[in-house]
Amino acid sequence: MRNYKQIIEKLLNNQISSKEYQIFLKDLKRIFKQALKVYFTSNIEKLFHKYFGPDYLEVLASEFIFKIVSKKESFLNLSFINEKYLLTTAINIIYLYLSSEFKLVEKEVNLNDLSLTQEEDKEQEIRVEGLLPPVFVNFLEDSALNHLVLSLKEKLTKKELETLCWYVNKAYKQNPKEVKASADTLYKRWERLKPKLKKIVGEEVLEGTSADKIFYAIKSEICDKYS
Amino acid sequence: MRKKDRLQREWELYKSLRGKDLKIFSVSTKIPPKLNELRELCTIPPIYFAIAEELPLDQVKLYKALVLTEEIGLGWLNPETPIIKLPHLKTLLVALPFWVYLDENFLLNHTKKLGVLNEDDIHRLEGYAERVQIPQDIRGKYISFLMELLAPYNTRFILTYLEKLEEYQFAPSVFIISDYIKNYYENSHFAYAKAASSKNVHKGKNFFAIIEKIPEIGPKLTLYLPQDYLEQKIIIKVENKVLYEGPLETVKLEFTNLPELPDYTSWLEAIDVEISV
Repeated sequence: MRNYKQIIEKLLNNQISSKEYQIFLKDLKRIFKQALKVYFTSNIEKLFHKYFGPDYLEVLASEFIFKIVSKKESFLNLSFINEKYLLTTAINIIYLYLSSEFKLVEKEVNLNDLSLTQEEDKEQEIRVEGLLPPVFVNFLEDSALNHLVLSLKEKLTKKELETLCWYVNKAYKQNPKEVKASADTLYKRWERLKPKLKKIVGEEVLEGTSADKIFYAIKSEICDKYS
Repeated sequence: MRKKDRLQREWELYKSLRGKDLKIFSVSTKIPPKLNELRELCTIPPIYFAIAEELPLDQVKLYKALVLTEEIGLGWLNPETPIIKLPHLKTLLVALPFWVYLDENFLLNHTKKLGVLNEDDIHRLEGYAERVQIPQDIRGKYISFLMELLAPYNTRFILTYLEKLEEYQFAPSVFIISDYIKNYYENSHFAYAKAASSKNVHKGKNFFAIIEKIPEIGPKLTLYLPQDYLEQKIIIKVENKVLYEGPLETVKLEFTNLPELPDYTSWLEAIDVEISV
């Protein structure tokens, strides 16, 4: 496993060469690309592109450098800095931008501008955020819903999924997939399924997420794929 | 095999990075903790504390610390979840629905002061931690994992000050032990047991117990149980007799009509708390 300790130490001690710096930036861009692809969605990546232009990975990598400098002591404390830690840090930076509607960007970090000895203001007031942008809330709600839907897929039998989709399609006034059972049987099956469903949905508390949203996720992620 | 969703992937990344134990570092610049501060525990990935309450004790202070994290997807539970932006550190935090008690030296040596929150925001974080239930999905798994990681530090400090924790804010559930069980213990080997050093406080594997002798009501047992046992069905036994069985509604339980024993050490050590299946 690759250790980034040495290069980060060089950066923080102002001993990094321009070539090494460029290689490190390239690594960070690759890590951000991976973070966006695996832990976010292509739509989120498109938003970064929209706000910061084609060099959005460069912008994010510069922000990462800024973070390393701001948290100098934490990084220097580590004996081994693996890529997973850099990936986790990149994910948090992406969330920070989503929560700020992309309004946080600093000017591009120039190696010579970095104040490596700068003391942070420890008396500054920190605030709990009020209203958060829909892009941030929606993404997190979707992640939780996505997890819930996959749990349903895993925990329900084929017959139960069929019954669930019959009910959801009915709610959406769509013609359900041909089911070899009478309406009466389906109602009975639905009544039997309800407590189990309630247990699964209830277990995975989705406060503030409307039933509509859950139904829509079930429909698009399970039912539409079965029909 | 289950298709991995984003939360699942975030959880796996977190677990692979954290490992099983909490490795904590010391800070170079030590700043004594104060109320309302936001502090960062030096570990990878970091854990954050908002200092909500100071319990002034004899020599060292104990602090109620609300927990926050950088793992946004795993920590965010609903649109009410408090979020803190730290633009100067390029970091975003979400509040978690639990807290720990940490002592002054731990906070001094292992946490960095990041800034100060106002009282309203501290109350908001506190209200959220008290109000919100921990879900039983992957996010709940993550929160419980973090609770377990912090438990040794939390419990150690609580144990030290348990006798002085009268300020403990949980409204307790109160139970009266039946006369039958009281008599049973009074006539059992516990009536003759005498430990080398008599104590009225005991730390079990998952609880703290304290015996107080109150003139008006006689001896009283108080049990403090882990926060993640809330709502779960538990069984509390002393040897083979059941003191309580049922769902846990508060983390503090009080029992009165206790057997009159000359020494409670071995009786306390015989307490067993389990989640019943």
